[in-house]
Amino acid sequence: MNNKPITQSEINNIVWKACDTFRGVIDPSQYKDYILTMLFVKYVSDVWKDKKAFYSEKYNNDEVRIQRALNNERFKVPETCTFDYLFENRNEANLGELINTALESMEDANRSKLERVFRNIDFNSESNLGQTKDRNRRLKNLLVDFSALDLQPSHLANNDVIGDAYEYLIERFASDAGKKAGEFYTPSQVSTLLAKLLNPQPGDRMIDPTCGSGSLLIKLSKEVGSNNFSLYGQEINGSTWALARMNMFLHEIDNATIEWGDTLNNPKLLEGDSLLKGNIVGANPPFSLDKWGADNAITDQYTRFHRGVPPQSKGDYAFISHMIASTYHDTGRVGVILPHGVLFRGSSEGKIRQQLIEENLLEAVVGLPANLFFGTGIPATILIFNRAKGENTDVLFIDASQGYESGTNQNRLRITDINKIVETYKAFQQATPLSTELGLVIEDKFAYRATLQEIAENEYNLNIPRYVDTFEEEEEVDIPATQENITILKKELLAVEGQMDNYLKELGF
Amino acid sequence: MKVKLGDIAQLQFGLYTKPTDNGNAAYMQVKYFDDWGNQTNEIDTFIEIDQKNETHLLEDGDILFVGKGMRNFAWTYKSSYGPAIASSIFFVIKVDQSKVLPDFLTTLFNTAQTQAYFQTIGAGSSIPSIRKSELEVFMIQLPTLEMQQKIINIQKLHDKDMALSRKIVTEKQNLYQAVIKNLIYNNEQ
Repeated sequence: MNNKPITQSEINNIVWKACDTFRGVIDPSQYKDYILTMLFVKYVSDVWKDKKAFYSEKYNNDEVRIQRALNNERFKVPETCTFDYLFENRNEANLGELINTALESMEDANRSKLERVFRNIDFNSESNLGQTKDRNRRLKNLLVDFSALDLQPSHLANNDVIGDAYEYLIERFASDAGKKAGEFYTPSQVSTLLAKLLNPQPGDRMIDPTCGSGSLLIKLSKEVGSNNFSLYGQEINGSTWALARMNMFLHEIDNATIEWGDTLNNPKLLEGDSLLKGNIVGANPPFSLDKWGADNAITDQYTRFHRGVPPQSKGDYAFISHMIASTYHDTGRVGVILPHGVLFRGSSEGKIRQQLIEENLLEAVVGLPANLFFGTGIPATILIFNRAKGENTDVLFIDASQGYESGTNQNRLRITDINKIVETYKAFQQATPLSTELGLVIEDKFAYRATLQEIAENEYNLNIPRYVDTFEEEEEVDIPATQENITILKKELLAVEGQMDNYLKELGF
Repeated sequence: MKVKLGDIAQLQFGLYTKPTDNGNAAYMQVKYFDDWGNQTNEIDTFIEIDQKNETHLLEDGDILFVGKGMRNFAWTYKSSYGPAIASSIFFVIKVDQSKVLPDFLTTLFNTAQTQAYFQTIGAGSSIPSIRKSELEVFMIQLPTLEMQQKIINIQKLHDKDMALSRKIVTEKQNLYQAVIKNLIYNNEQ
């Protein structure tokens, strides 16, 4: 047996290869669910196998003691749910049904953890996987591809490899499927940036009300540096919600609470009769969501929209309002990724923005480079709200639009770009607030410390160029020298024209 | 005098290869030229010369002619340019210099009439391309060598004229911007 630990790229390659089975047949936004679910099954089965081997050795093959020990494991995997069982039966005529049954039993055996996680997936679906013969062939291929993957923890460098493979696939699917699947994924560097800006501390409660597959929550948890945190997420799309659940388990974050439902119209993260509150609330909500539910907003039972109801066709400020309402009132911080329009749009959005600024909640505005997101080229902005700004009423503006590495389809933030933004933000928080009316340039063409008066003078318009001067001064033109140059050029031209005339005359024109 | 191109020149295809970032010969590609056969962009693809590809090294007076696509311009290679190899999108035309001057043929190829003719013989479903056999039978109106030289001289003068005119336009733009800016911002006291 090869005992060399499997590397991240080996796993990524095998898994990506497994996708070939489905490519072209069904839409990536659908087959991702099959691939990722199978990866999850394989992981859980292999962990189970690993533990079983461990206990067998430990208890000298004493069945009773082995079973007792296994019952205390994170996941219980009945015999007919294991990947090996499915693999042995890969030639059965009712393979799709067998897998479905296996998933059901797995759910039954792990009610508290996996309830409804496999509800959205049907391995026996004719519309998704083709007629029986085709379907069986595809599923068999899938099983064969995955059988090459050994995910037993004893063979893995560290357990995160699996979770990261999961992330890798989700990212690949997002870029592969274009806009459609891109909806469920924030590019990894952008969520890293947001997580670092929010700087979570041990013991923090972190919430993502539009968590997608959960990558921002995972990034936040990694920033804590220990296991002392709690994660809460809500996601509207059923199959993405299932992915988020599996993603959490694969990253060994078993106690995360991930709810399924519409955050604005039906918030599920509650404590008693009110919204669940956290230290940190981060999100990348859908940009300018249409029909987000403005009709119900006035009578909202959690009074999230007391600053005003955002326009029917743009839900951006609805998400901001929800997020701020979900923070602890004295210490909470919010980080949200939205389109630039939130900085300057008028009417109801302008009024809400003005109130947020007057309440001294807004702490920083970061303009990101264009083309960072899957499926949309528009530049986005990160807004940071902080309940604990205290005496400091200044707002930090960062124009990070020039700091990126350009790629074929997408631009990417580099580590250096991320660090520069984060360091500027941290330095801003530590510096003494300004006592002047005018703001202060922190770094030319990059960062500016604006005062409340200044923002008020700009009528609460936060458009970044109003604060960070990005005008590229043209090189100074030496007027007399240019004049002289033109005279010389004209003389040369005249000479050439003269030569040409002579030639033409000579040739009889 | 009218002659077939094939009678006064040899036609070869350029070399198909994967160029590298460095090497001792430039790998000429269409992207380095504008539509009139002027080299515009810095060469950034190169080839290491070895026994296999050295026969493809361009010689003084070789004409590169684009056989594929919508821009069928020609360009004359001069040995002062340094070692270079043409990519496979080009025909390399080696003329009998006792009958035709390379720069004349290039000028002729780049005229509107010839260009229009090439567009008609291009074949292919998505990218029109000119067949070697068709190019070989292309009929050329061939003046005397003396007249060819005069035509070349006119073409050179014209290029110089255009370049100078463009420079003058640019400088006039700069001057205008600077004067206006000066009048508005420096006189505010």
